[in-house]
Amino acid sequence: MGFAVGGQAYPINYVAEPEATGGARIWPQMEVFDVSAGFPGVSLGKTALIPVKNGSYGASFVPVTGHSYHVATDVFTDNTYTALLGPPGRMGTTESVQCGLITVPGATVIVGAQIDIEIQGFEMDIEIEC
Amino acid sequence: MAKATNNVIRGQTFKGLCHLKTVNAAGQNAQPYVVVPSDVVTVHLPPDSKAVPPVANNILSSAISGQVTPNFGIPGDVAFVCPAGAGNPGSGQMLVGTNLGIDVRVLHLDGTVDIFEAASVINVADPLNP
Repeated sequence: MGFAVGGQAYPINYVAEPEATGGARIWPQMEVFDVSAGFPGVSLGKTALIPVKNGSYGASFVPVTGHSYHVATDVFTDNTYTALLGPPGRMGTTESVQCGLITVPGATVIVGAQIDIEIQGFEMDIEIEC
Repeated sequence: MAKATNNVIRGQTFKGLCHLKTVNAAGQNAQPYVVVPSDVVTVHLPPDSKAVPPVANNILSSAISGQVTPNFGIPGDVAFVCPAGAGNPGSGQMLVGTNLGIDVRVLHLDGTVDIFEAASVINVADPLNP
């Protein structure tokens, strides 16, 4: 399992944890060794956070090659870079990572970056006023 | 599971304020979820599935003025107003019961959907038809 940048294949390591509603949320810790094909705006040691477009919880998320992502939002806070990327697919389906198509506005291409990607879930609080 | 503390009367107007967040796989690092103007946000109320015929859905939408209103100034905040009366969508089409959930869905221009689920949010009573 892995992804390709510029014709070069790279591995993706996965970490899975039980999830309260059953099943597991899995997020890859992806090491990008060559982003010359275009992975701008992500600097060494920073974290790109990807929210899962979760059609359903309880199933595994297995990224594979051949699927692209785009930036939904990006935030700089306290020297921490957070890029919310989408659409990364849905839990329970086979999705992928293709780094060459990830773009971040106003940023610089970094070669040799290491990027941890977390597949995120969604939560919600509701206040009701009767 | 926590019990709902919000008591709603079926057929009467009630309002809600949702705080949408993303979390990591451990359910931590909650970040406000950014809704953009091109998104369509829907609030899925519990439909009266025990009616004859059963109510299939009871959905408020940001596409209809006055129903669902994202606050673009406060990321993650989405307000909704459930109208009174027997129309659909509306309070009069809600299921009577306790510890009922409400879902919020965010439909993006590209067709992807983010789903926020909140269980045990409201108790719905109907004093006129107990």
